[in-house]
Amino acid sequence: MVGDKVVVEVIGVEPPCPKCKKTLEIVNEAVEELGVKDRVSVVKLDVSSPDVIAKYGMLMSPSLAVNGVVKVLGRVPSKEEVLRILREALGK
Amino acid sequence: MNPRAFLKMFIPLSLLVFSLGYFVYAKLTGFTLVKPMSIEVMKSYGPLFLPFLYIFYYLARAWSALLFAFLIAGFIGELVPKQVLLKYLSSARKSSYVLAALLSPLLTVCSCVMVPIFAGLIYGGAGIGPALAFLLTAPAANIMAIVLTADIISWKIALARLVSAIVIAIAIGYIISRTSIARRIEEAYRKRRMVTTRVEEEKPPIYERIWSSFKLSGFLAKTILPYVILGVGIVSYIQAYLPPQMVSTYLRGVTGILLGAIIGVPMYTPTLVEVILVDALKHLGMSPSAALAFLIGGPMTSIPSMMGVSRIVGWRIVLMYAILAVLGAIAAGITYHVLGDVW
Repeated sequence: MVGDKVVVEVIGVEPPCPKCKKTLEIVNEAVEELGVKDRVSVVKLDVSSPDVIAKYGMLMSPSLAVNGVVKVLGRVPSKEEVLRILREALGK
Repeated sequence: MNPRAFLKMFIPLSLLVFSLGYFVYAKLTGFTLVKPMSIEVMKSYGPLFLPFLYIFYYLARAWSALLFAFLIAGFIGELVPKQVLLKYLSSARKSSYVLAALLSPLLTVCSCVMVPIFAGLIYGGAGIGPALAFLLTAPAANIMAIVLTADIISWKIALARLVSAIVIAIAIGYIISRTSIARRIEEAYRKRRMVTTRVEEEKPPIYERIWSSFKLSGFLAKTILPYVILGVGIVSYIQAYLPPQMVSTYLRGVTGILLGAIIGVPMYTPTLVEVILVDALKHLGMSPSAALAFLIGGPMTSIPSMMGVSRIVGWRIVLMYAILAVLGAIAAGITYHVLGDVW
């Protein structure tokens, strides 16, 4: 299914803080577990960059956005939560 | 509710109640787990054992305050409705200094959140004033620092620290926003309309959230405690070997206030360690007003956050606020001195 790739953005500080790293780790694990590497692209963004702020407004790190919508704000989500969010985004 | 969910809620909450109860009880009755040992006795064990003894007696005395501080910080970090607070902040205009300063302690449990929100306020066009008020309140008025100050030093100093941090941060924000450098930066972002953060967050069930807050407390403890323990070890030598005469000569009166405000700048003490250092200096004869100046000047001018901020607004603004923070700390010390200078 080309074209409906799910974009997951992990929005943290640069250089990454421990909580942001943890979030990225959890997201990667979740993608792995669902076996959907080819359908999900995980991107890392800087929460303090003007572009991110222009797009999402003020955020806290770490945050998680899926297809342009902030799903987790300022906390490390659990893997179950990320799995749920991913499943919903993938429509399964 | 299943037993697992119950435990996930019960353990953190009961620990919170227990640590607070013990903390208050020990404060009111003077109860201690172990009889405190004087620094002279500790010294007699030799310089090798001194820091370990000092750390042991410190933890025996302050464990409940530390436990409570980490737990409450975790709860605030996880359970405070961040989205609502951010919305208030991003609707912020010129009048919002007070809001920025008051919300700051609730949003910045972890220091790595400070610079992103600062950037958000600047780039979003809320203005340099509120952004600085937000940034500068956080380190001196953070919840863990205030709890520990109240326990180890005194609640009067803790209150004075909280109030003056807020007042100074607002004043610095206001003064800097009037300068031409600040206006130029604000001009560049004025045309931007602040994007209201849109969040579609599905909150996990409450017991999961309480459990996450407990995990956040654990994370904070794991990050901060090693520095605190190391700091306590180093402070033991200061209390044992720094001549009291030196402290009472230089860290009292007006000289004390000036020095207290200034030495905090280059001496980057990790969060909470400043409280322990002041406690040692207190025993050696530092005056309360000098202590207050130190407890405000140091955290406001923390080097890592200055570096992060300089990338956003440039060195000149950072230099200005650092100088103003020192002046503010001096002013707070002098005010406290005039008001009675009590511990």
